[in-house]
Amino acid sequence: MEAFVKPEIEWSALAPMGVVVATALLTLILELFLPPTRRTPMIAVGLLGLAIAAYFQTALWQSFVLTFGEMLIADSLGAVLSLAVLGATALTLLFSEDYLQARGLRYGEFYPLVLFASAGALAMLTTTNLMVMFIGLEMLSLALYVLSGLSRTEARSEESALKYFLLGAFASAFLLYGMALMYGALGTVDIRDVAFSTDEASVALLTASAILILIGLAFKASLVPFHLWTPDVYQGAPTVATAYMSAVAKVAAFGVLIRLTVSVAPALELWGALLWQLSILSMVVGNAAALVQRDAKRMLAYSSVAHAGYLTVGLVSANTTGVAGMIYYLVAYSLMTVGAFAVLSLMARAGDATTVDALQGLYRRSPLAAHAMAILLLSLAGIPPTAGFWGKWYLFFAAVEANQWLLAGVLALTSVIGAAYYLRLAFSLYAEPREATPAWRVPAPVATALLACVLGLIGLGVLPARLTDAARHAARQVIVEQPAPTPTDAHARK
Amino acid sequence: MEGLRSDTILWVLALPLAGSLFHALLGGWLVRTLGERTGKWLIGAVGTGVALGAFAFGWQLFQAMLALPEEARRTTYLLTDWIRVGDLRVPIEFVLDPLSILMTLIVTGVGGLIHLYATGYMAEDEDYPRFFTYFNLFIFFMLVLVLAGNFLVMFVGWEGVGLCSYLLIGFFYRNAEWKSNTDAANKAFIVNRIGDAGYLLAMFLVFALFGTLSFAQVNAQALPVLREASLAATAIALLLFLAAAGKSAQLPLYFWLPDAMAGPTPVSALIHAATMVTAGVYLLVRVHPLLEMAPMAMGIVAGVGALTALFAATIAIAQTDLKRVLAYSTVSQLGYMFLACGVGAFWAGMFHVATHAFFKALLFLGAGSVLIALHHQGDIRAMGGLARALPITAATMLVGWLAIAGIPPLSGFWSKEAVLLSVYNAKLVTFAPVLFGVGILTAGLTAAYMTRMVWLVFFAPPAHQEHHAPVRERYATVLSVLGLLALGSVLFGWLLPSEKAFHEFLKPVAEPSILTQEQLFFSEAAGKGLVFGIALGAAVLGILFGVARYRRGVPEPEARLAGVWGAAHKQWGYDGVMRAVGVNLGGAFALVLSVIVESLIDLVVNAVGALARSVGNWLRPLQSGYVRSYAFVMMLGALLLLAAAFVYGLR
Amino acid sequence: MPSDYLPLLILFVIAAVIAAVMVGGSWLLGPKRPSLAKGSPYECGITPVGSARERFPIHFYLTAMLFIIFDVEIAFLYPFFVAVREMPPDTRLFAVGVVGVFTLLLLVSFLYEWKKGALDWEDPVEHRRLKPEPAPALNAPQPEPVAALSGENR
Repeated sequence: MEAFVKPEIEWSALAPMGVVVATALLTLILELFLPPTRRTPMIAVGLLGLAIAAYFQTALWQSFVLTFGEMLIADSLGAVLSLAVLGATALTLLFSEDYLQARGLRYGEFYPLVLFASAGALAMLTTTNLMVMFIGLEMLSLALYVLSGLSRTEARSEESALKYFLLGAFASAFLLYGMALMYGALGTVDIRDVAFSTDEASVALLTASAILILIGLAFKASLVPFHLWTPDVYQGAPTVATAYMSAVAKVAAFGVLIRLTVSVAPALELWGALLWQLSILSMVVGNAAALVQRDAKRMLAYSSVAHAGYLTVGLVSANTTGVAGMIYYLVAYSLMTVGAFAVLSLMARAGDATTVDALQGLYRRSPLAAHAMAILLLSLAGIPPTAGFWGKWYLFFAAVEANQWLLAGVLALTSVIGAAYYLRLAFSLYAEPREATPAWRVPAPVATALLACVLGLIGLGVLPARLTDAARHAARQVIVEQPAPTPTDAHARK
Repeated sequence: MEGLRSDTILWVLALPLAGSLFHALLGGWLVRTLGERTGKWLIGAVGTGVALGAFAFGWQLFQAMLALPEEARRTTYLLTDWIRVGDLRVPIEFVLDPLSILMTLIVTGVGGLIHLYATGYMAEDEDYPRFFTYFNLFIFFMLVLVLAGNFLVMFVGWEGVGLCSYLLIGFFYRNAEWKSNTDAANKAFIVNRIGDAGYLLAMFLVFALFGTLSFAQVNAQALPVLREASLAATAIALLLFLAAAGKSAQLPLYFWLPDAMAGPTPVSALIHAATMVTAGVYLLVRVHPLLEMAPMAMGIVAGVGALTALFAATIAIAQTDLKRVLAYSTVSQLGYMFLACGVGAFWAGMFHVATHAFFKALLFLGAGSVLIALHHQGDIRAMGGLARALPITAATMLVGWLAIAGIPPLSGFWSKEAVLLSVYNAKLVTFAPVLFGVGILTAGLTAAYMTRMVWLVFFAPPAHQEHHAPVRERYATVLSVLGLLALGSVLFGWLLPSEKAFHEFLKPVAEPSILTQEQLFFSEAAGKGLVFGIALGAAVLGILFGVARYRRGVPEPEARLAGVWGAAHKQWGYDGVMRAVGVNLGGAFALVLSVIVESLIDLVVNAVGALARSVGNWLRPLQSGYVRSYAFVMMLGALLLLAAAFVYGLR
Repeated sequence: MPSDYLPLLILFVIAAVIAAVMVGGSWLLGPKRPSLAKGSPYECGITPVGSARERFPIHFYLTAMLFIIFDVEIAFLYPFFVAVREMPPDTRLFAVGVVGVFTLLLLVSFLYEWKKGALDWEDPVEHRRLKPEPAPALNAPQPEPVAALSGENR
């Protein structure tokens, strides 16, 4: 029998994820010993844990560590996107309690579930190994299924959870099948190997596997035609769960797609062509469908489909500008979408109706919420001086650089259509409300979260250079400097 | 001895911004919780404190700068990179040199005093926190403007002060009788946009030609880049002058400034007399090498400056509103500054900026004190004999009067003489003798209309004996600031006979760097005595004329504004023509344009919108709500992608 | 190489053929004399009582699931303790640490089940904690039937 060799492990690479898991366990235990009305200690522990994780994650910036038998990778791309996930999670923790209390959803499991989901997202973002990626994806997804069904007595919420679960399982099947085929084609589950595959005979297998993996991830990222669950789930799930999933699931899915594209696009010309189709379809369908929605949550769901389409423009371009633009956009989008749903979560105190009509005259109820929502919508529409503008700007330039003129054109045109429904909602916030309503007092944690989102977006919009430099660095690292995987048995066999 | 600590700039900038945020976020709450008295006191203290605190930091930098040798008196502070797209790299950079520190000291010093004054002047206003929010914000943007290290950062300040000016002119928007206030604010903003367009175009041209927006690099490369491109050089210079003319109220764009007097008096003093309106002069001095590359443009600057000075002076003498007299006087004095820049004596222009800030702020604040006493009735024909009731105001305003009239040894004399002397010696601008004549004439007129104003307010027999309430001076803060500024005007005046020091201090930044002294001037200081004598004579004559004519109040037919007086009062018809051309003709043009363009755009937009809507509606059946049909669509999508693999080929 | 998979295909085919032969053969050859007793479900030889599609208390499922989870996870520990003896001494502590983390996770989940009352049969602590909350004060229109739930799309 071969002697066991203790692997060389760089623990620092695991630290952020480990801290998040530990925090989740801690909140889970805390929940058992706290009365259902006291959640503050859990939130405090959660925020503290996220801060520690963020500290470890920041320390990993600009490093490049491959550890755990190359199953874990700590690089700048992972660091930036992980920080976005941690930030979105922290914001969710901040504003959720208000909504949960207002809706009478006294399930303390909310917090551990959110934290476990974030740990899964971190795992997805810091690996090139498809198995680890899949485990992360399931960690994220399973928690999200439960979160969408949190409002157990409400058929709408139950329905959304069931739909999400069934279709998610369906998508996971595609994903797993693709991974199996990739292992069959290359004898490895490390996506970096794809770039170095020279075996002509396995091309058919590789192509099929790439398509199947793409389907699985396109489902998570809400790309047309794998987006159909999005509006139903976004609308049915409790608003705070929607806020969380809209940001974190998107960041995680696109993080994986970036790594995949970097490795797969050079080997398969087809990859870019497929993404091109998905991108155009998503931009057109997402924006067109959002235009006819009357419910703000549903509208934002379709808008998230459209934003997935914008982000895919960066993938098709597959150049440094494109990937850097995606990273910038993902960070900005997390802030926008979390903030927008946070405002919608305030509607819990008015019957949780989120139709455009119900939102009309929000200014009379809470000027803070209305101003914040207006700025968030401006950013979603991509209007300067908000971060949303620079995100679109970079993606547009990436498409032009890659000579993808049609994509750039569709991006610009659909953005204009998008502006129509965002601005329509923004204006109605300041119209006279349908019925007289009392003024709200926005609780301090919610106000803090909203201010953080708004100031972050304006800050990134006025001073984009810091983040774009970071994004550019991360993109260059992942595109240019990524080392080839260490040859394994599979390579030796060939 | 260490160099300049450039990060002190951040403190100078941060304090007013913090103050503004403080008022905006906490002001209303403070007034509500602490009670009106304490709350307002606190707001006033913070507002004044941050301005004076910024002055303290500026003063510290100034002292540090004085201790350094001349060539070391320049440093930049790079906050961070702002925009980096393609070739365009614009950092947020600030520059500290004698020119910017001079402006910083004026803005924060005079500004701080005016803040203190405003704590009294605005004391009874319900919008007290809002006022100080805007006021501190103005200081911040003005500092960004003067400390900016490149065109774009300066543009932020440029637009920022425009915004604050707009907000403060329309400050009394609530008062329904004063709808003209919001009109005046709109007018100022819109007219300034014309100048801003010039600024933007100049900035684009500079970037296209130089590939950078940094002042330092543009100034250094002006000669090699523009040597072969005299047309572009002239275009840049004229566009910059257009921008300056908008901000600094020169012909043809001066006409917003008199209306801007609708704002509270401290605003008129700070923004529309002492600081913001001098931004145009500052801009030209900051990039003077660009101006020097276009001698023709310099001639235009000098000519327009002199013309504006005379034109505004002739209007000022027929004004009946106290603040409007001062407004036209400001336009006129700004004309002097441009005249100096046009003949190449940039330092003399800045010199006049500095002294003018003092005595014009003093005059405005004095006028404000009169207005407080008279409950904001500003018609000088109805005043008279107020010297007895308002002794401190009268005394301090007399100092300002003598300063602006150009009586030695008060500060205005020295700077005006410096301007006139450089015009007398000007060589590059061939029609300088004419300009010199205009300058002297304006000096006489200035003395005359200021005497008219002072006499009618303070010494002429009262027109109406009865006043609604006893006329008296209130607010210690108002009076103390008047005293301080008067003291400043006097002391500054005593110090200034050594104007050489001022000239030497500004030399590294304001000395012509491309044209030589020989090209610009016949000699540096020839005929000094002669110029002094002529100017002083003109001033004395003007004063004597004023006293003689107005010692018994306004004589007929001037009081009825008949004949030539009426024409002058109505700006010789300029505003009316501008209104007709700008508003009516422009409106008609806009209407035609809008009909054509909008119908076209509407057509396209509506078509796209309708298309998008129909796509959205067409997609509805897809969203049936059934999981099985969703899964079916996913399956179809998968087949589509697999089919694509066959269409595109496997790789 | 496709040819590599040929044996696999043969295996599939043989399995399918055998199954078809067995089911088809009995269907073809067997006599068909149905009666009530023959048609009823087989239940340990006694007469069936009631419908087979009966509803069971959720605790059956819960207990079964919990059992499987812990059973499978405990099953991992056996090979570990066999293997740890073969490991070089300096790596054993590390290995025990790894298993310790694994056990800790189990422990936390066990604690969670316990406190949540998932292990109590009689006293439904869970019911007390998760009692259907007073229906949330919704002024909003109550959810519509499932098929129509997707709102906009009718």
